[in-house]
Amino acid sequence: MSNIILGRYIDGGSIIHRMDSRAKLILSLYFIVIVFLCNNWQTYALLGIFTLACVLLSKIKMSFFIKGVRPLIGLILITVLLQLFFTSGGTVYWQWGPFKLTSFGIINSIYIFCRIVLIVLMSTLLTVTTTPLEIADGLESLMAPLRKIKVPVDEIALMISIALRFVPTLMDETQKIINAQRARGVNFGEGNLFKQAKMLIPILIPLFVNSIKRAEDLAVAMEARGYQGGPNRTKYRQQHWHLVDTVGIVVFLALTGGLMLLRG
Amino acid sequence: MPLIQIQDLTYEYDDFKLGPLNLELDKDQWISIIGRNGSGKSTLARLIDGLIEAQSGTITVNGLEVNEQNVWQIRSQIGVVFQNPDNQFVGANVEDDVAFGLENRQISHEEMVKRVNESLEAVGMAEFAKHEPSKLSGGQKQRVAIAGILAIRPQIIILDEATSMLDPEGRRDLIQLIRHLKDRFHFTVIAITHDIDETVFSDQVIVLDQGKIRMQGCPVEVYHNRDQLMDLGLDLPFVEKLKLKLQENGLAGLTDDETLDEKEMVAKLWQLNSNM
Amino acid sequence: MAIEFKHVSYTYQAGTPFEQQALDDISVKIKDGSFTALVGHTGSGKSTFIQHLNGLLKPTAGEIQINDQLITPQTKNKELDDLRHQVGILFQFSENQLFEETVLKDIAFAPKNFGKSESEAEELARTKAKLVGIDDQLLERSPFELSGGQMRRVALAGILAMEPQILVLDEPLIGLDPVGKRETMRIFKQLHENEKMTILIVTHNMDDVADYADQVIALERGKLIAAQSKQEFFSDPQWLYQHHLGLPRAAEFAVQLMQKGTQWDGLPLNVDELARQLVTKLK
Repeated sequence: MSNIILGRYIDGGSIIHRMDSRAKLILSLYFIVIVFLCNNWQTYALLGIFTLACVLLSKIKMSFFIKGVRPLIGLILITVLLQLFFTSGGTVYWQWGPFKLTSFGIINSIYIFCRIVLIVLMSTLLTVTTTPLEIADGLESLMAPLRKIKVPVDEIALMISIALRFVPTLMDETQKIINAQRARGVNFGEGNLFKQAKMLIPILIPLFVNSIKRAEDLAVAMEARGYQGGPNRTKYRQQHWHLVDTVGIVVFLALTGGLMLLRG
Repeated sequence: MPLIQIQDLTYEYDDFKLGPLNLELDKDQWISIIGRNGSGKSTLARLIDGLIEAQSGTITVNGLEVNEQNVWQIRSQIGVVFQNPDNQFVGANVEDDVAFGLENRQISHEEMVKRVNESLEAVGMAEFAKHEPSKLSGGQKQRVAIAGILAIRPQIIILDEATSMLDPEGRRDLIQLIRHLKDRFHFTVIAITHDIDETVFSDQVIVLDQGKIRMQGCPVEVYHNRDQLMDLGLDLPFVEKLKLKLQENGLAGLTDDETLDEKEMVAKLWQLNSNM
Repeated sequence: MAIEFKHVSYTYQAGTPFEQQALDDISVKIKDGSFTALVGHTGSGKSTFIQHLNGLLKPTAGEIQINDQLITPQTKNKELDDLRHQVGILFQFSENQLFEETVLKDIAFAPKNFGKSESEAEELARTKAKLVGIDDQLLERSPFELSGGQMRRVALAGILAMEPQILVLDEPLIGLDPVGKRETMRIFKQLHENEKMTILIVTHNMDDVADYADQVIALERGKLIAAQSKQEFFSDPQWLYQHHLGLPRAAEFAVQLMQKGTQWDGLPLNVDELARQLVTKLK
């Protein structure tokens, strides 16, 4: 479960790991845009090779990326099948009621498949090479202009940072409460749905009560340490824009150029 | 002028009442506050730091009255280590947590890096700078909390049962560390604790019971009053317990001895033994 | 024979890169009616050890005999239901397990889970509440209105209401004040002496070991390093220091005198014994 919440960060010293999280966030978003520039096999091939190169640069085993794609397999399949059987145009090979198999349909479904896989690979690359905290810092920095329209960017960022820090603590606590209630004769995972839902009460109530207690303690501790809220704080965790980040941007621009040239 | 001056202080909450309290605490001292759970020890600490507001009376810290205008200035001079090591760890990792108080005071980044390193060095946690809290023991987290306080260079450190969730070895290490830091940086320590053996080297001991000061003085004075201590539901320091037991076993010679320190007591007993 | 571990090992997340051996080939017996202290540092395997005592964890190798129940890696969870109420475990910070609307209902929770009727469970709850010194007038209150010390007693009563023969206590004294500690320890002693319960207590405090336990089991990095009587356990201060286990205060004091040349007639483990021996020497 911790994987879902904490992301799938894998420690490493690759060039992708070292990139600034802001650059990675911007480029991951930008990548989604340029995927839609692709409209023939040449452009897909170029983007495919590029994505593969990025994956190789991260020095992370391919199996982690495949794991990233796996939960989405159903979604991908449905999208591809819809494209395959509902697209008209080109040669019609087969037809049955509203379903038809056309040459356009086949090509489109292949393209859609490639598109989704490329996007998933690129966003997996972001999460395996960037810690959740770095992502939060990156977002804070990118959202900074929103302060002008009174969005409490700093508070949100601190909240996310504290939430991330307490995830392992709360997981640990949940496990302890589960153990304590099992020792009192609760058999989790048995009985009908209603019974199982009822078993959650002895876990959720203590968890809730303890979390509130923690939150109160934490609030007092933060106040004692001089926290007054608002944007008037300096930041210890600094983000550094390096040459590699600029190079990354340039490479993506060049890639865009390449795609424009190859586009049919 | 005393460092902290408390006059006619009262605080009420539900059926708990603290005070009226009058107290003067001097600079550079180690002041221990002991008493049963619910005697008002932690409440007193929170009142001094302005974390809760008294119903009546005044507290002045370093000449500044604790009130809404002064509270942030006062908190810059006071650091508090709380009981639960987990619930005061704000940062994503060790260095980040030490920096938290500095960020709040808008210290420049350059200065922050310097102070974070120095503070972590001082508490012996420098090699753990990048560690996440879930990878640390309770004792290590309390060290980080102390580093976070050292970084703001306070005049007063309040230990609010800071050792109560640690094992005996962890307790001893933490107290030793703070004594060592006190010698080096010359701050005042207000230590709230249940562990009476942690208090025998204090300059002053204050015993609270049901919101009132029952005993006050140097450890020798306070702990010599064995009956009253036990009536208040408190333990005796180990050496005091030993003297009492020696007396019960028919050796009265040490009953009125003033030693509270174990090593000194060992020396005294050895001397007695050799004279036999 | 109450409990016997035979070559028990336990590995967390076996077969993954996060594999971690928490117990390593442990063979040990805990006798019926004994008061045993389980000592060791954080990460020594204590908490994994106690979770084996009522089948919350099953060994990944070896087997455990508890009364007439044998637990092997193959044992099904269903077969362990009976064991669960024979062995009551009071976990660390047990006040965190309370959740019911009233103190009475919370204490009655476990017996109801083990098939007692509503009225039987409440009857048990009242008896056990009295046993641990919870006032009758508190029974209809919400457990969250009580003080920390009282909440912990409610949790203890909730475990006792299962009528276990074996009681496992995981650091039950942390955070209590001296009076709270003394009273709680008095209750445990009473359960041991009057109710004839087998007690296993996990603690860091060697004074408590010296005052209450008769046997000691010590773990270090998942391995058993001692299982012996309290007297034997404390007979070798050097060994204890080496393993960072420490001594009772009185014994520590006695060791300091020993280093100067005092000869002890068996290292004194508490202040009474220390004073007694000192007086005979000094007189």
